[in-house]
Amino acid sequence: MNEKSAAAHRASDLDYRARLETLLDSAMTPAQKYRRFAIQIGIIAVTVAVLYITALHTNVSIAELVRGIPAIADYVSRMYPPDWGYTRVILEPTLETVEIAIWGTFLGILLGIPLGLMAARNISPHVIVYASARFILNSLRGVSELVFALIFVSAVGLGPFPGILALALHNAGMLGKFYAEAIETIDPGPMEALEATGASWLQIIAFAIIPQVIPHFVTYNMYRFEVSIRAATVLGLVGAGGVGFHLISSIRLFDYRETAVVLIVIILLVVITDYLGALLRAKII
Amino acid sequence: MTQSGQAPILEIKGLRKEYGSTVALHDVHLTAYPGEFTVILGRSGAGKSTLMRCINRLVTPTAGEVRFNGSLVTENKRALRLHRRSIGMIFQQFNLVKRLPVLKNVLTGVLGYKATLPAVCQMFSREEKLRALECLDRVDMAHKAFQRTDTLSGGEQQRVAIARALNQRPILLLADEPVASLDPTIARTVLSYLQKINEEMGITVLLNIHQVNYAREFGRRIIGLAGGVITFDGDVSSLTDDILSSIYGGRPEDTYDE
Repeated sequence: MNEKSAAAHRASDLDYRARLETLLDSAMTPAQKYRRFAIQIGIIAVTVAVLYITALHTNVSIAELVRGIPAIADYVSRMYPPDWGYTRVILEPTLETVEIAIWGTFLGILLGIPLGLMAARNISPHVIVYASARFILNSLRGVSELVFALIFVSAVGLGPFPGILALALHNAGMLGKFYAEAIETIDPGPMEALEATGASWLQIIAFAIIPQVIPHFVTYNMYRFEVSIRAATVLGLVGAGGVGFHLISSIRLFDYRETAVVLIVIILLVVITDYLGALLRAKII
Repeated sequence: MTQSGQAPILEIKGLRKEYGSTVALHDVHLTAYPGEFTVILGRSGAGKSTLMRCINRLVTPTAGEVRFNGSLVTENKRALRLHRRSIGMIFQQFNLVKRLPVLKNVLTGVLGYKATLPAVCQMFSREEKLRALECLDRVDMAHKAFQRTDTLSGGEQQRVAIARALNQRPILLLADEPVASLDPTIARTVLSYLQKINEEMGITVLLNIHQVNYAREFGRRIIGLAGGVITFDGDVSSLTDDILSSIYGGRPEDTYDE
């Protein structure tokens, strides 16, 4: 042990205190301190400026919102009481919505897994594969389900099938990115150990990676299923099947009491999905 | 080792801890006096960590009582916070926040003394920073104060962890297998810092360890723990091979680290 520091441990020693002060001050020169302060002020200024300018351009206005409150209240009041008889009409389309979400999520997972594996920096076989997988994922995410649905409706006709395809592509883009990020944060130790045994790329993935990412995998899939249910309710808007058609037509025909029923059913679906997802996660994690 | 005339710093009576159907600690009685350097010796799974965690209530005992510095350690949140801040703890895996600078890790030692809000905003006074530096200097780590913690070696990280515990101004230091993941040379350095802290600052040290050679080198009082029962409590000089095999249930040579 260092004699010099042991001798210096007398707290009353003024030299010792001065030495500590010098050390503390040496962490940052006044110029560095000034620069850090300037950067912090700069970040705050830019954030405020961006929020202010974008608010001007998008007409964000609390006054408008306050003025609009009576209209909103009027809208909501017309939804009451919900027309429960309408439940029978939307039962089948609702089921169709769930079916669209199931297949849209399932196909999204199937497509997302290989893309996710290729887009994870730490296991991607080649940098070109990595870059292309990222690009594909970004493109899939960049286009909304609704746009995909329009394209597929014109390609394969009206009905739930174009809705499924649209959801699948968008889900694949989302899930692939989530998977890739989950894989990038795993503990590399087991991978190294399996590599040392002479295991192949796929074997390493099967034994060192998949067991580590399963909890994330389940969480993301459940989340996307929930989002898909919500998205599938809107797909009816463009003729891609499901309860969305009834949602939009009831609003267009001013049958707000029917709109209320559709909204309640959709909320119920999301609540049930969330509950089932929590149950599943508790079992797996 | 009993220093007569002094009040005990730690009094454990009839301590029992069960995890489901397994009994981790079985009727443990233990008294420690201020300034002692006590080694708790035993193999993995003997109950050393559980015993230590019952002292600062990271683990709630099934039965029995723990008295620290004269008062009973209970579940009362406010009282427990006061207890905990005067008991420093050092862990096998260091348990530092690796992404933070060294000095911030040491500053966390003072949280038990601070109001929640300024601490959550990471506001520390110059005086607190100087104190943290002094604690770092005691383990000769002041020169690395502004580095990110994950740039340090294992031995250096454990010294930072000791500095964090010192910053609590503890009167008792619990060291739970502090050198189990360090190589022998570095392990000795770390243990000698604990020894120095005990001798120079008068802080009572309780050290959990499974290697007999370190126990002999650094311990003055040895407590042997086997299967949740104290099988030996005495001076290091009376630690014979027979006693060792009662603690380890086998040949003691097997437990040497080098």
